Amino acid sequence: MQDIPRKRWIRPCTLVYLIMVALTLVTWGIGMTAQGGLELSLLVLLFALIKGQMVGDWFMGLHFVQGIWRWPIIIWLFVPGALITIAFILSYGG
Amino acid sequence: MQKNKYPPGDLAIWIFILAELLVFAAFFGAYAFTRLKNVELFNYYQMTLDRNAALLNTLALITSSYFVVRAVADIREDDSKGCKRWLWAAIAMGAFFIVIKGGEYAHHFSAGVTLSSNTFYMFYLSLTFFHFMHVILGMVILAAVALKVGRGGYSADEHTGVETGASYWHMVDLVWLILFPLIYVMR
Amino acid sequence: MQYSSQAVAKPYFIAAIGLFVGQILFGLILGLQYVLGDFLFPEIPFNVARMVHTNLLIVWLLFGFMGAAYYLVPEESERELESPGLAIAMFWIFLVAGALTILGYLLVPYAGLAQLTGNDLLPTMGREFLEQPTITKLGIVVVALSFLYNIGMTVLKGRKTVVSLVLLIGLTGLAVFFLFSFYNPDNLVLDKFFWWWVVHLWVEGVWELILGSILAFVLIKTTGVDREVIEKWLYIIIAMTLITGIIGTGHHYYWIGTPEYWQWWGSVFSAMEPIPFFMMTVFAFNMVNKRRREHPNKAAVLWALGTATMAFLGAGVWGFLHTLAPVNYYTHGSQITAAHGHMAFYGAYVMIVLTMISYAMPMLRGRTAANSNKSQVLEMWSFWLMTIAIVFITLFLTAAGILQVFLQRMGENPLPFMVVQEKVALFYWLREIAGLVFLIGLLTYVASFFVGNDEPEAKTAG
Ligand code: HEM
Ligand code: HEM
Ligand SMILES: [Fe+2]
Repeated sequence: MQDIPRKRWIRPCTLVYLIMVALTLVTWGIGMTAQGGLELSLLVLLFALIKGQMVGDWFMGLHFVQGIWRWPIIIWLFVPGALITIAFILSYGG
Repeated sequence: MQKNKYPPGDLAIWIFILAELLVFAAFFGAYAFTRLKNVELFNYYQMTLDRNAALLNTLALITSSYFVVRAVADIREDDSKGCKRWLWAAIAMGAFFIVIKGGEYAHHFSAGVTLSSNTFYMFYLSLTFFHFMHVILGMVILAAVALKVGRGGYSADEHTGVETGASYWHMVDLVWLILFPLIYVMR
Repeated sequence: MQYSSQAVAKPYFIAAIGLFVGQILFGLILGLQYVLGDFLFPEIPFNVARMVHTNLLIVWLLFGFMGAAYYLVPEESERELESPGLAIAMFWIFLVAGALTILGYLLVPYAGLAQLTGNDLLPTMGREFLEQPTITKLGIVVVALSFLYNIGMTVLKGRKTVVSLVLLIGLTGLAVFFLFSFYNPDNLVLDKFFWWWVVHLWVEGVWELILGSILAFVLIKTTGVDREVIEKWLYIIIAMTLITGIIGTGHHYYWIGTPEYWQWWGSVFSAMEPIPFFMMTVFAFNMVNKRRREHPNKAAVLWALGTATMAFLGAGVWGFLHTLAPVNYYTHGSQITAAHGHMAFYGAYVMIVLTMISYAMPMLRGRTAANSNKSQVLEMWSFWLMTIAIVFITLFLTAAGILQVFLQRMGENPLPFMVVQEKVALFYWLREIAGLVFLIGLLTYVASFFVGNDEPEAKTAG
């Protein structure tokens, strides 16, 4: 994180952290139902990608980077994300 | 806000991070497509995994990553003491992860599970174990950084080393964030 | 030349080139035997010629590595070699042992050689690349230990640089992994394990460290780029090499009776092995583009860039081609393997040794920096002749390999091995022609040492 203005009510990284915790709990809740299903699976994957993006942008600090180094994590999330999505859609006979 | 041309930390660690991420991406893709051919098997054995442990581990790594962010923020304000405290807290969370994951492994091994038991377990053990080794390596790196911080080796002006260790640790977190839903939840 | 003890490198380089010529002559014999089955039979059977071809390759590369180390280490450590006398003594021991071994291959039937050298006491013979009689292997260990002592003491007592430390680690690894060649278990799976721990962990592990450090040394010298920059590259390259290369050994475990997970581990990790080779290419071209000076030895720079390119093509691209388990299922042990073996060995290890010879030999022969223009032009001709020839050898073998896989291993009615061999004979003829071009290139290379010696040194043209 960079140049955190002290006066904010909460550090951006703390906010990000809390969102990630919330998404993790929801993911776990879905997991505990053992329900499965294409929609739920892809939803859980989406949460993971959002969390990954948050780690890249705010924890690793790539949000503050310009040029090619802005992209590696985004692309990295996209590629396995897409592969997993395709494989799951196929596994549901799509 | 001013933008940088390069990510925080030594560029060398970033080349490294990208190469490692590539390996994990290949494994994730392989998992998903192999599952395609063995959906029943994967769904069945996924149920033998401990999702509560996975939750604790996910929280541990997220929290640990957050602590590292705070450590970097502190050193940027020349606060070596704070930086050191956050780093050791992060390492403690890493240790927590190791203990929980070790418990899971102990459980599986005592049930006679091996890499050759079936394709699901092969992937489960390979993927989590490679990640496990990265957690250990990451902790070693963080500890080395923390020790140097403790000796007053970094400052607001010169703290590339802290950022380098931090970037590596976030990568370890990042990989787990995908691993967790993929192996424990998605079915 | 800054230290007089660097001169011990010279006999090593000369021997290397001499054995190189021998290797290629046997390559041509082999190539001809592929199409004229009874050529030179029974004097030199195919299996003997093959053994001589590959063993000469390994031995001359080892001579080259040792010569390179003897030249490089004093300069990096900024002190004379620990013991030049020991280096010269080991040179003669290694040369005589090598020559006797080759004569043994040629004059005595292999089984007889095994009996003669007491293979029963400690059986180590009979495995590809490691065919040497046990006593020769012991000799190699003695030579390697003396060499490591000599180099190690020089490094430890002198200035320690990343380049010399990486080289030392690589050379130590080379010696240590060779020890696996002394263990020859009856269990065929274990036997293969230990064999690959020599062969694979050499060329896709510790030898890459040697390659990286020699390349870094020559680039520091010829480009004048800051050492720190070059060292950082070297760090990343060797780290990537070891991460991918060690578990990448799994790409040889697919079909030898190991558990199935090796197909995944081997595929994924070895698929990453091209990365460090690619980084080496980027590294070399980057450094040459950023050069601070024009070095008069243009030939050496050409060899360095050639190494970086051809190593990536041969090891990286041709290695990747057949490294994934589902592909290797079809291509295993076909001509595709031979195509890859030729280009990878040439591009990485032959070329790095020639790079070092090209850089060091002028100084060893009393020049201040470079050979005459005439000699360099001839050397660069030999570069192109040999390199283009190996590219064609690789392409012809790849074509033969693809056909072989299709006809013999795929489709409804797979054909028998020998029928297929007849069908692809055209490519073997073409390979032999390319091999002749290679020989011409090599002779040109040798000639470049004898021309233009009384002409002035090449100057850095403005
Ligand atoms: C400079 C480095 C390298 C050299 C000198 C080299 C050389 C060789 C040689 C001589 C063989 C044949 C061994 C035998 O069975 O007799 C071989 C096999 C093989 N190499 Fe490499 N190699 C290098 C790098 C690589 C890399 C980077 C990869 C993968 C990306 C690779 C993949 C393979 C595979 C898969 C085989 C087995 C082929 C089969 O199943 O028949 N090699 N290599
Ligand atoms: C510097 C150049 C060369 C290098 C580095 C080299 C290297 C090798 C290696 C590593 C092998 C073992 C391959 C394997 O097990 O897959 C081999 C075998 C062989 N080489 Fe070469 N070689 C070179 C030049 C030549 C030339 C010029 C020819 C002939 C025109 C030739 C013909 C052969 C043949 C016929 C084999 C036996 C392949 C088999 O067993 O099927 N080589 N060489
Ligand atoms: Fe290999």
